[in-house]
Amino acid sequence: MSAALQGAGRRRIGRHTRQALLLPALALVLVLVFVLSLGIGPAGIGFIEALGALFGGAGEATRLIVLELRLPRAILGVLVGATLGLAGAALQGYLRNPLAEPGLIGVSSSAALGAVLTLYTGIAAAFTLALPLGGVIGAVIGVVLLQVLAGRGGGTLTLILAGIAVTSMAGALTALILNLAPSPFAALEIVFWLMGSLADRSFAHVWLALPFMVPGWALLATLARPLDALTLGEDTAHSLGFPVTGVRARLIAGTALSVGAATAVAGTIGFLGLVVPHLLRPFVGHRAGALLAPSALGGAILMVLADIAVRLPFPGNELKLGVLTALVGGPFFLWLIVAYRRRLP
Amino acid sequence: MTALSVRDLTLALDGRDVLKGIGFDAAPGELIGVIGPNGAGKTTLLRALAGAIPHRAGNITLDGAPVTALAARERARRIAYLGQEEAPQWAISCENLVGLGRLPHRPSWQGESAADRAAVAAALMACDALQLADRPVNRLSGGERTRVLLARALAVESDFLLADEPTAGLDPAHALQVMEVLACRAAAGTGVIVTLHDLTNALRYCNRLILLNHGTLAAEGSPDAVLSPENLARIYGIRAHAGTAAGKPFLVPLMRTGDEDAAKGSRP
Repeated sequence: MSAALQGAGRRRIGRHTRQALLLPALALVLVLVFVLSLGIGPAGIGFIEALGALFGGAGEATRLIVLELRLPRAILGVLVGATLGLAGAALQGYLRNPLAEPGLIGVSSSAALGAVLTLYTGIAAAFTLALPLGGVIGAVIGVVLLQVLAGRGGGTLTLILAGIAVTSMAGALTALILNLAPSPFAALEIVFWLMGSLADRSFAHVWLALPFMVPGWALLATLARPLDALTLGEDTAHSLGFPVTGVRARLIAGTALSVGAATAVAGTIGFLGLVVPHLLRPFVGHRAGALLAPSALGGAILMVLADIAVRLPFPGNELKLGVLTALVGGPFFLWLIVAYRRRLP
Repeated sequence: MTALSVRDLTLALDGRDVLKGIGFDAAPGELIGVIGPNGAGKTTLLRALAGAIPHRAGNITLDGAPVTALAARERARRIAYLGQEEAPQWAISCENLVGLGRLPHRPSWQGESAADRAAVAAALMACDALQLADRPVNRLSGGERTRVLLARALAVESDFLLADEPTAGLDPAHALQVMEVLACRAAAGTGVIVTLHDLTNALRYCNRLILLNHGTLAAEGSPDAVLSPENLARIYGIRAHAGTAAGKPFLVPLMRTGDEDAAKGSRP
């Protein structure tokens, strides 16, 4: 009996250390992949040389390539990946559903529609904040529509159906814009942008996205406790001092701001927000609130890694980031459906 | 003196009046049973007391102050609620689940304190669930899950505890165990309000009963008085056999009064 208790105690200590080490470990990995990302590109500058350039110890050309091309690309990878991971974890926690994700529930596609509209109408060229603003407004409309369609505490099936409805409506309108595009080149430009990519981004994109992402993250970060309380449903969350209406408002605003801006600068990148929280959930003892921070770091790591992968030599055109995440994430989603099929209504 | 008072509580859901002019008082140390037929408004009454749904008219006061004037946190510390269909979605450990009951006590951005851990352990112990602490909640039997969820509500260490049919779906031994935990908690000074369908448990464990019918208060008082043959016939439409065995009172429904009338009528 006492041996069993000691065993349980040891397991618990092991679990606590594992959970305490998770964030530093993820942060370390993120720094490593970030540096690795600086050393990858067609110019053939290795990462030691790139690191040197970062601290002002290299030739002018090398510094230019590292500071103006690779650094903003790596930073955007971190920002967009963290946004998608964090928003995925928050949405899954709020909807109490492991299948929720900004892409699957139509937020990404409505943000893309908003951004594409600004591209098509030329507003994006007229003033600098138009593209992220378009993305954010599209995302807000998408999330509100989803809430109306799925209702409060709707089941898994309702949510996914509502997500399909929002996605297909946004898709239809995006197709309409492509259809009406003045020239094939304009259409192609929009299509490539939609596939999602971090190529040829500059610090201008970073400064465009950050003012929306930071408040979005801050709003989502305040949800940790309410999400924990929601583990037992809305009534219990209420009785624990977390009225659900306020939680939902913060979730909608936070997701729309951060995912809208991410989509506006990087295009639609799916499945990241689905995969990352799912992979990390066991490491935080399945607690919805504790999952937020690791998911942001994990999302950043995965995004930077994926962006490294698309830059590896590949026959033909460079693979688009959104295409790669969909190729990997699609089968993962199928596997999740199979795993949860027994629990679906 | 801490007291929860309900005055003229009226509440509508989807345009239908579910509660009409309910009024009663609850004091610390009391175990109050809320009984009544299906659809009488028992669950709605508890949800309104828990603050999960707003009431349209009337007052719920705690120590004379309206609960709506209390900060959500403060109210959560004073009144704990165990819902009927609480189903944990994530595979968190029972210890973490019970720890959710400490959320109203924890200042923002702070981890669990020693007091939190002690409260969780005490709640698990009270519900005979200490050995389940490390188990994921999705791998519990129905009885184990009920005990852990009850421990979650106990961990709040509130002045008042609301429990909505905590014995539903439990085998007799587990149902008795849950009632004993609630009685024990009441004896320790908590005001416990529990909705029940089992009339024997209501008769045996509760200090006082509130009988609801179609959203109105049909009777209130000692279990013996409320569970009178007249009330059982008028509200529940049943005839029951009440008695005592091994010093413990029981009440067994025998037949519906409609059947009785039909049986009488068919006789020449």
